[in-house]
Amino acid sequence: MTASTHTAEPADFSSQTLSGWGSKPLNLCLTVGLGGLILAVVLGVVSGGMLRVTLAYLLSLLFFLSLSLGGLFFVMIHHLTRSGWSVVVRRLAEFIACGVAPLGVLFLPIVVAVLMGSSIPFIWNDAQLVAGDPLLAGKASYLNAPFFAIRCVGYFAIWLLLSRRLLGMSLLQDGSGDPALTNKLEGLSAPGLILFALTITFAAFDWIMSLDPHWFSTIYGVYYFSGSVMSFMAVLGILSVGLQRQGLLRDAITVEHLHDIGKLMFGFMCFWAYVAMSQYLLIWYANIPEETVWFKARQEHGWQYVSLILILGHFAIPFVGFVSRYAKRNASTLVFWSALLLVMQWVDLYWLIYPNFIDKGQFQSPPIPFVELAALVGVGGVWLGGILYFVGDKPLIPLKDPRLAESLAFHNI
Amino acid sequence: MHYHHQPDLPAPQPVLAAMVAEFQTPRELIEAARKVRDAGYQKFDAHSPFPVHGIDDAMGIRMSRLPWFTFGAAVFGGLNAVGMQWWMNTVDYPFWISGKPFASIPAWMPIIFELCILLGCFTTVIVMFLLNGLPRFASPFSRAVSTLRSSSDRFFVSLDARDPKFSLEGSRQLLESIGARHVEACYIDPADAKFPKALVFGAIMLGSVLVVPPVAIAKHRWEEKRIPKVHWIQDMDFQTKFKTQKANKFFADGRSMRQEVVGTIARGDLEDDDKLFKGLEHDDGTLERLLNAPPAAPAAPQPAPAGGAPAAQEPDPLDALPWVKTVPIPVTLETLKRGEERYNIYCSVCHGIAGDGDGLVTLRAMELQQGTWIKPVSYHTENVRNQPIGRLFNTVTHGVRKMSAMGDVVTVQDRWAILLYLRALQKTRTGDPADVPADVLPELKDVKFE
Repeated sequence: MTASTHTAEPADFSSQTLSGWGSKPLNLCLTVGLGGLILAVVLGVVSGGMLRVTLAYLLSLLFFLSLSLGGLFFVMIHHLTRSGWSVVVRRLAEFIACGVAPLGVLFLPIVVAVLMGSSIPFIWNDAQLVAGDPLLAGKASYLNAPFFAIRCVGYFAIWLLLSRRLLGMSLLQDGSGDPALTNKLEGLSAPGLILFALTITFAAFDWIMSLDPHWFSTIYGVYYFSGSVMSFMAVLGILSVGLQRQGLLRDAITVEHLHDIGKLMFGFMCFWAYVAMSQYLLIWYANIPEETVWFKARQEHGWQYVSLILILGHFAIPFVGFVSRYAKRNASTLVFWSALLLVMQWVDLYWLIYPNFIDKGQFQSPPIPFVELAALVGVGGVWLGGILYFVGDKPLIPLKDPRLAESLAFHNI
Repeated sequence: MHYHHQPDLPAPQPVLAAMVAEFQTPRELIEAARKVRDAGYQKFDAHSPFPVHGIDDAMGIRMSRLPWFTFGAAVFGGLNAVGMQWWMNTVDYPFWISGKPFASIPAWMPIIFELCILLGCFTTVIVMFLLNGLPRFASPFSRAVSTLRSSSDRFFVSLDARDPKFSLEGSRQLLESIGARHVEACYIDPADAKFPKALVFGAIMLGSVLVVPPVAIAKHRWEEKRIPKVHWIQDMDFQTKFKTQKANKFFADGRSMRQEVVGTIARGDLEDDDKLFKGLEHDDGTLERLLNAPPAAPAAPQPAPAGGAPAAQEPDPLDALPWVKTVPIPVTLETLKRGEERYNIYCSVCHGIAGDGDGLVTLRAMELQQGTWIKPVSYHTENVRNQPIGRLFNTVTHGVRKMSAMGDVVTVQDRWAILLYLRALQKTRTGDPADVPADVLPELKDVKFE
């Protein structure tokens, strides 16, 4: 229907690549990344010991993983729903989803450490502790080093396979223009989303929730998922505007696409608040000590201010500021709120991870995150470097997608 | 049928209401809309069988005001939810729920959320209709013959005659100059555009009639009456069954609750083991007779006999009954432990943990010195030691002096278990170290009492 008003052949976007940038950005990213990692280890060991270093590293990994997984979800859900509008930004999402590859490599040290018996930061790996704790002993059939390692490998294998395949088939279509590939991608996305839902849920259980192995919340996976998609949409918004300021994709991405990106970001921000409230409300109502202890840790020792920052910065303020159509259609305001929500996603993970160790005498106040920032730069550099490696000189738009014309002509009512 | 001739009224003059122009493609429609807008028209519309992207830009339609209504209504709904729940939970019906404060914001959140959505949605739909000017009973556009195809395969622009720029010839020329395939002027009978009077009258009548039932119900619920009110919501309040303590005309004595038929025993109530249930070797009805005997008139304080000899105490008739001397249930360590537990729960508050008659209630009662309390006897007296266990069972079951009957509180098995434990307590004062197994003895010697 929409396409019927635009019968002209879509413009040729094959020149829209990053090849003009050369290999400089990639090398810069990797150099900064390795430097950041080394700095994080040095700062961490000097200031707070191995636990601090490990948590900062884990936090950074989970932050960038949430962006890549959000991208993976974005690509698959749009294939599955046969979406037209998103085609011009889908390639960007495909590239970001491929960021799971460098993150998988960076995750290996954690898996190896767990296999070698380290109980930092996963205390369920401490055999002596588990033996004296009936609750942990009861969970040992799930929370044990070999099974943990198998799961980690499994998650990354699934994500790698999905992201590589989605990008690969999409690139294949750039050459052949075969519409059958679109159907194949749709067919891959259906089971892919089921696998995605299971893996992201259990990954959130394994890597964040099991830091406090006594505590449990069945909605935890959804919580991590909601933040992931929201922060991916924020990255996509910033990236779209940023590339256009670099002179790329100017004829492809319009204010209409930015508007939709903003809508999804806003929607998943509200969804995050909804999930967070659902989790809080049930625990608050039941008032069972084994559950409330998790929130109690986050309402004391200065962590209550971090909780407040989340309520205000991750929901209340952006809700008021970003609810209007104008804010979503204006590139500058879109970038501003995207950046704020990205920061909030980081604060959210910080708030999820660190207070688990308060009752073990650690982090009696929120630590000033210089180690964490160094680790963030480190992991972020490697992540971005990895993505740039995948980007290479490939087109930034699915050149011959059957729905490209529809996407280019996309118009919000 | 007789045909009534209408009186001669002046024929209504058709009024020029609009000018419609037909186009063949959506692209032409957008182009035409843009040109009409550029020509300075404000009251005009575009008609298409399906939504056409970009038409609102071409027509120069500004952003709808609808989102503001939605937002305002949502905020209003949220504030309403806060106010309503605050009033209900803290003013009208404060009710403790698992120790939460009356004003608990987390518990209010779902209602706030729901009311935001509810009022937002309703307002959006209703205001959308109002802003669209719907429902509308007549439109000049639908009067034109050629516009029938606007719902299948043709696209139209209609210029409203009320637009200041409108003129019969000028507008026709404009439409023809922008490539319309066909231009038609629409005339309308002004009476058609008015809301039909019969409908207004009907709506008022229906509305008035509909008001009657709620008003009647409200009046009925409000006023005081001497006869019972109509019970609108039954909720199974009236059932054809007999309730306790209610009158029942069926029986001569007018009571719903019946006594057992003479000579029958309810299921499970056959207590035919005298040893177990009464603590007697055999019972010939004497016990029941003695227990049910009217209490003796309070004996007048007897003047001390002149002789100075104490008045001979009247023998208790219960003493003469054939009480059992052994416990009629299996004696095991388990039973003893059960007896200890039950004793500590039911008996120790008055009789004391060790049976000295110094339980907490007793101590407190003695402290109050009200003169009505009779201190329980110690178990470690000759009198209690020598009483047959069946006699003690009878005391526990039916009570004695100030001690209430425990027969309805403690089961038969537990009563015997308690008595077994009582015997064990007594044994602690009279026992011989030789009775204690040799391997336990050293442990007991080390026990320190505080």
